[in-house]
Amino acid sequence: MLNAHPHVIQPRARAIVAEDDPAFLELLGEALGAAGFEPFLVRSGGELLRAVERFSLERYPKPPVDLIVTDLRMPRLSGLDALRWIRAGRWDVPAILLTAFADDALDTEAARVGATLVAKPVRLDALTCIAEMLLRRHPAAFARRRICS
Amino acid sequence: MKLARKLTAALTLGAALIWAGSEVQREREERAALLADVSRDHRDLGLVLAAAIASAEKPPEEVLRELAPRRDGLTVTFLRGNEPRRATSEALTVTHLPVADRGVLELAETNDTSDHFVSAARRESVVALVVLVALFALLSNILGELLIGRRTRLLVERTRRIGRGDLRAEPVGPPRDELAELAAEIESMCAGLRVARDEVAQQSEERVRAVEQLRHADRLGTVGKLAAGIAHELGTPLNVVAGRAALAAQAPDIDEAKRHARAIREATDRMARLLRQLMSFARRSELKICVQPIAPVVERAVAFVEPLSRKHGVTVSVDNTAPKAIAAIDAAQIEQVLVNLLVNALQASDRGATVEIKISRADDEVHLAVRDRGIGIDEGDLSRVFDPFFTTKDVGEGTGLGLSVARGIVEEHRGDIGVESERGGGTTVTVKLPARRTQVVMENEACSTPTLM
Repeated sequence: MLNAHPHVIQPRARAIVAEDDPAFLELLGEALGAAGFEPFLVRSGGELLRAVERFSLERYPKPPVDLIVTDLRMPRLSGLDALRWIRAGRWDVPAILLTAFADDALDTEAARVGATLVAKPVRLDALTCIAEMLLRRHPAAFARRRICS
Repeated sequence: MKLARKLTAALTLGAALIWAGSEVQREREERAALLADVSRDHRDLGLVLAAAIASAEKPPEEVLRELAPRRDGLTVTFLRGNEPRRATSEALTVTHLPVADRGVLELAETNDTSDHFVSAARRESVVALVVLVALFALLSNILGELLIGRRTRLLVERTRRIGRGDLRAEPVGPPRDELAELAAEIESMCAGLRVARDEVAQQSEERVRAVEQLRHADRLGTVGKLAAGIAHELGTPLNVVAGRAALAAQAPDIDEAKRHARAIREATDRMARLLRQLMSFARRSELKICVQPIAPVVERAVAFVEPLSRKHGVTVSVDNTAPKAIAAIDAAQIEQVLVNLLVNALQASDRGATVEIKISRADDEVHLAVRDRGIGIDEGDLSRVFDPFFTTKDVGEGTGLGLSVARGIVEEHRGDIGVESERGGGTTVTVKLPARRTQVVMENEACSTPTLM
């Protein structure tokens, strides 16, 4: 179910997942993996930035990753701040921001960094749906999947 | 009133003395005048009698017998030659008149009449004086009472009422005299006191309200924090369970399903651990305080964490500077506090390090200090260490409730808990407990150990 055209090997879209709770992180990795992404798991905002930097060198001139999924609240550097950094580096990568506490202020901030807010507790099928839709709008390489209901 | 009476008594006495003095003077003068009258009268009479004697052929005694007035007390005598003469004295007025060359006419009159007159006058004047004094006394009593006594009493009562706290305003007449002035000043002072008292009352009310608000907000804050913390700490593993279950349902083979099932197991274990901590957080309201030696409690806590200390390769040592120290504690709860502190210390320490518990006494307190030489706590985190769910450990390794629970228990013992730490320099958590029962911490009936007081 990874490709719609089996004879064309599509590289899997790479998704970085940043989340400080290890069990939850693993779960997100599994879910995204099952949805056809190549998950890369990090545990903090700092690690997220470092990974993006490393990948940007590797994949230059293409964007470092195809999707960023990050938790909002993480120790030391929050997901939001990390995204701000990334946007400052002009990487126009689609991003999903996970949060348990959604409010108007956060809505504005998320919009500013071009991230889609997804509330916790997360429904995995909804998450993967959103992820695919974000990729569809993007010219970067993505895995073709039927849109889940 | 006594004041008025004293004043009037003094005045009256003075007036009476002055009067008495002037009366005595007047009496003397009157008597002298009366006696002078008598002398004049004698002389007039004497001249007539002398003339009669001189011109009469009869002997003088006969003349006198015929002509001399017979008055009580008056004796007229004709003296010849060297017959003795009487002299004027206190009781007698004597006048001598020479009669040609034949002899001396002597008129002697007792002073009775004059004296009677004078003493009558004196009696009258004494009566008048007594009446006057009595009148003065009466007037002074009445006026004193009306003008001074009653009003002073009212003023005294007013000030007493003020002293008792009754600051209600009272009407006061125009300042006719000193007492009215005083009354007016007292009322104005009372008004000032009212203002001051209202200010104080308002301030204290505000302060009480502020404290209440703080306490309320603090309570809300803690409860809010706790609720948010629980929601987050339970919500995440729950999310994992839901997600894993969905994945397990879609799993292509049994091995994958088993993998997901294992992850579910771990998540539920985590939730259970949290719930256990929460339950002990809630359960601890039942304190059983007994005054007992502290050393066995410490030893039990050390024994409890022995497996963990062995696993971390850390030694736990007890330094007891007060072997007989006793404290008013619920042994099981304090043991839990110590276990929580020891676990933190062990987790922060490197292999081969030592964690030290020091027991000491200071006045009415027992101090327990748990010290490690581990990684320490950042200055910015220090103020939050006791917050529920605050933890610097990895997710899943600690619930963040250990210190929160510890603080709650220590505070219920009316004790104190504090933490000192430096990044890289180790951490010391000190627990202070009362050595004897305090008024608030009452000893329960059933204490297994006899109280050593």
